[in-house]
Amino acid sequence: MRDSGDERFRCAVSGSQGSAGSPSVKYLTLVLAAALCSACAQLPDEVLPQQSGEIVWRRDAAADAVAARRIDEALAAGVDVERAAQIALLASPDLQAQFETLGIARADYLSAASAPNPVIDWQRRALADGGGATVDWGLTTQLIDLLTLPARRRAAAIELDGARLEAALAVQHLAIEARERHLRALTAARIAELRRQHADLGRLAFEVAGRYRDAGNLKMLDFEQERTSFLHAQQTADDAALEALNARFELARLMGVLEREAPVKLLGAVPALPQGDPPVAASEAEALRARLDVQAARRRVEASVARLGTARATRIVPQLEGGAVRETDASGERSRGPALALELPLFDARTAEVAARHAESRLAMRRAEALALDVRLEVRSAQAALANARRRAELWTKEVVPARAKIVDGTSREFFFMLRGPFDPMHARQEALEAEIESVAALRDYWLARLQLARASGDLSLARFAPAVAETSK
Amino acid sequence: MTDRDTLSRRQLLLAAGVAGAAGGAGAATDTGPARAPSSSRAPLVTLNGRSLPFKMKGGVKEFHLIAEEIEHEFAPGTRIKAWGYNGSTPGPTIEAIEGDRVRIFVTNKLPEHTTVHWHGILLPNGMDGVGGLNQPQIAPGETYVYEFTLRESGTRMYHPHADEMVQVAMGMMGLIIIHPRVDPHPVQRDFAILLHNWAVHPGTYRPDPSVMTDFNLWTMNGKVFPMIDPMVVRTGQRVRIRIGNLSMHEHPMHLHGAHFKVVGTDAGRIPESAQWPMTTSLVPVGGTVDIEFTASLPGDWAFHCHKSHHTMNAMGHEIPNPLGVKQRDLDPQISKHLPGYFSMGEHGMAEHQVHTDMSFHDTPENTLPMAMGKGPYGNLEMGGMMTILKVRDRLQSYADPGFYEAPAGTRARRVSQDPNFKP
Repeated sequence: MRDSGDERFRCAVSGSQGSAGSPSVKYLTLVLAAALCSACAQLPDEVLPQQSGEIVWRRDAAADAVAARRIDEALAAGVDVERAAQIALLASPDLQAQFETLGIARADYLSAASAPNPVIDWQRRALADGGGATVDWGLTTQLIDLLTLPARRRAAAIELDGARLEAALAVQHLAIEARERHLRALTAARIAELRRQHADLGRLAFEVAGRYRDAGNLKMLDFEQERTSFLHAQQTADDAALEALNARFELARLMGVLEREAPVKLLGAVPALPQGDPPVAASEAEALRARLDVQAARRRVEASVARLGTARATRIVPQLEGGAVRETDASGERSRGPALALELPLFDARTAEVAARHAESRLAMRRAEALALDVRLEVRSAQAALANARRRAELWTKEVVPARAKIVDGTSREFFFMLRGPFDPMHARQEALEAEIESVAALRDYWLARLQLARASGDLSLARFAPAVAETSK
Repeated sequence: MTDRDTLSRRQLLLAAGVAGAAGGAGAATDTGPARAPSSSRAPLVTLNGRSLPFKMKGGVKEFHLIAEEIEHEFAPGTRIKAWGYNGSTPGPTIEAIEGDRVRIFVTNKLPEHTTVHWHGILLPNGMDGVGGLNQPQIAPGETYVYEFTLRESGTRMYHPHADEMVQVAMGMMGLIIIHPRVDPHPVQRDFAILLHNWAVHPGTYRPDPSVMTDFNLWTMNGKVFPMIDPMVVRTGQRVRIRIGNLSMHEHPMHLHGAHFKVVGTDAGRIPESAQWPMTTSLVPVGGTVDIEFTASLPGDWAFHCHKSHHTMNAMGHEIPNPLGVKQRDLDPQISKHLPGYFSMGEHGMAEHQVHTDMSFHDTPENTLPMAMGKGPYGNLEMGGMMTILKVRDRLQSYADPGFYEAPAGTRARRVSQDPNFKP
C-alpha cells in the first residue's frame, strides 16, 4: 500500500493478492478498490499502484517482466473465471492504453495547475553616435494567471478526477468483460461437447440403420433419413467446435495473451441458475449514483463550470502583466520601478471565450443528461432482459430438460417392450441433448444479462456467479 | 360361481349328470328360478367372471344392471378406467331358463346416455335397445326397464346400442346364457367366454375408442393370459365352451387335444346334421359360437385365437424389423448415451420374455409385456387370448390342478445338440 500523500485517500487496492476470502469477494474487492482509488488519489501512481498485486500499470520493462511472470503462473494453473479477470487486468493492452490516457490527463493537470512562469526581459539599445548603450532589465509575470491559479487548479483537479473515474470504469468493465468472455468460452465448449455427443448418436443411429439395411429390413428412404440426420448433426458439431475455438480466442484476446502458443486451459463449468436475483441496488437513481461514468460526467460538468467562472472573472481584465524593470542608460545611470501591462478589451472583450466556455459547460451538462438517460434505459433494459433470461433459463433447466429426460426414459422403456424401434430412444436422446444445449445457452444468457445489469447499474455484486451447474449428460 | 370353488358333492353329482337338485341360475341363490330348470344342468362357469343375481317378483326374474365407469385390471399392474356393468367388464353374466319372463332394470351412471341391446334375443321391438330407433336413450341418472320372455335357449350377449363405438370400446358388454328347460345334450362342464379387443396406448389409462383396427390387448372376459382362468375338466366329461365376440376382429378359436363341433350360434342350436368336427372355429364379430366335445385326452391343452398376434399383448407394429440384424457390437457404444441399452430381436422375439421376466429394464408405464406366462418347461411366450384346458383323470376340485406331468415316454425329448444330426 502506498500513501497518496493525503490521508483521506489512502488506496486499498494494493496487497490484495493472496488475501483470504472467496474468489468472488476477492474480485469485488479488487474492482471496488480500483473504483475507490480512482475517486481519491492525487497521482496516477496512487490510483493504480504499479505493484498493487492485482492491477499493474506497466511503464517499463521491469514491470512487464513482473506481470509476464504472474500471467504465466496464472495461465499454467488454468483459467477459471476469477483468474480470467486477474490475467486481463495484468495483461490487457487495452487497459494499459487506458492507463496511459490517465498519464496524459495527469500531465494536463500539472500543466493547468502550475503558476505562470516569470518573464525576464532584457534590452540593449546602442546610441547611434557610439556614445554608449541603454540596457533594460525586466522581470514580469502574468498576474491574472497567478490570481486565477487556484481556480484553474481546482478545475484541472476535477478533470483529472474524471479521468481517474474513467480509468476505474475501464478496470470494472474489463473485469466484467473477462467474466463474460470466460462464460462464453465455457458455454461454447460445453455446447460443442453436447453437439459432439449429438453427432455421435447420429453416427450410431446411421450405423444401426446400415445394419438394418444390410439385413434387408430397412427401406432406402429410412436409411437415407438416418444418413442425412447424421451428416447434419456432424456439420453442426463441427460448427459448434469452431465457435468454441473462437470463443477461446476471444477470451485470450481480451486477456491479452493471444500471442501465446499454448491454448488457454479453461477451468470451471457453466454456473447454475441462482434461487433468485439479488435485490437490485440498481434502482435507476442508485445507478446514477453508483456508475463511475456518471460520476466522471459530473466532474466534467463541474470542471467546465469552474472554467466558465474563470473566463467570466477575467473578462474585464483578461491579461495583466506585472513585475519590475531596471534601466541603465548610456551614462550609466540606473533607474528601477514596477511595470504593468494591461490588456484593454476594446476589440476583443473575451465574449467569444466566455461563450465558448459557456457552450462547453452546457455541452458537458447535456452530455451528462444524455448519459443519465442512457443509464436509465440501460438499467430498465437490463432488468427486463434479466427477468426474461431467468424465465427462459427456468423454462429450459426446470421444465424442458427434465421433461426430455423423462421422454428418453419412457422411450427407452417402450423400446425395451418392443413398442418402439431402436432409432426412437436414440432420437429422443438427441432431442434431450438439444434441450441441454438450449439450457446451457439459456444459463449463459442469464449470466450475460446479469453482467449487463451489473454494468448498467454499477452494482458489482450482480457479477457474482453461482456454483456450477451439474452436467447431466455425463 | 367361479371355477376355483371346491367341487362339492352336489356339483360332482351334477357333473356326473345324476343329481336331481334344483339349482338356480348362476349365483342367484337368494331366490328360486321362475320355473324349475333341468335337474342335470352343469353350473355355468364364466371364466374370471360371475353371474348376475336376480330376484323373483310375481313370477318374473328381476335383474338390475348398472352401467358405470369402473377401474379394470387386465393383469396385475395394468389398470384402466373402463365402462362396464355392476363393477366389471364384461358385466356379469345374465343366466335364465328358456321360457323365463325377465325384467331387467338398467340404471345409467355413465356421463352420457346409453341403452342395452339384447343381442340375438327375439323380443318385442320396443325392447331391442337401439337408441333412437326402438326407444329413447337412457340419460345419465335415469333407469329404464326392459321386460320380455326368453323364448329360446342358447348363448346371447348384451351391449349398448347408443354411442356404440365408444361404449363397446370402453368395455360395455356381457353374456346372456339361456339354459334349455330340458337339455337334450347335457354337458358336465359349461364355460362362457366373451372376447374383446382394446386400444390402450402404452402409458395411458383409458381405452381409445377411435381406434378402428390396430388394437393392442386381446382379452377373454377382460383378462389376458396367463391371468385367464384355466378350464378344468375331468377326463371323459362332456364340455361346452360358449364363446361370444364383441371385439372388432373375428377370432379363429383353436382347441388343442380335442375335436369339437360347433353346436350353436347366437341364433340357436345347429342341427346335428350341420355339425362337423373341427379344431378351429371362427367366432364372428358380433356373434357367438358354442362348441362341445368330450375331453378324452388328459393333459394341458391350449385354447387360443389362432391369429398369433392376438395371443400377444401390446407391441409396436410400426417398428423396424430387427430379425437378422447384427447389431449387438454397437450396444456398448450406444449404452454410453443410453445407459442400459441393448438391441433385441436379432434371432427372434422369444428373448423378449426373458428380458422382461428378469427386469433387465424398467417397464413402460401401465403396459404389459408382449408375452407372459410360464409353464413347467419354460416361458409360454404368449399373452392375450389364450387359456388352458386342463384335463385330468382325477380331480378333487375344479381349482387349478397345476401343470400336467406327462407320463414317462410321452413327452418330446432332446436327442442331439448337433445341428448336423441325422437320425
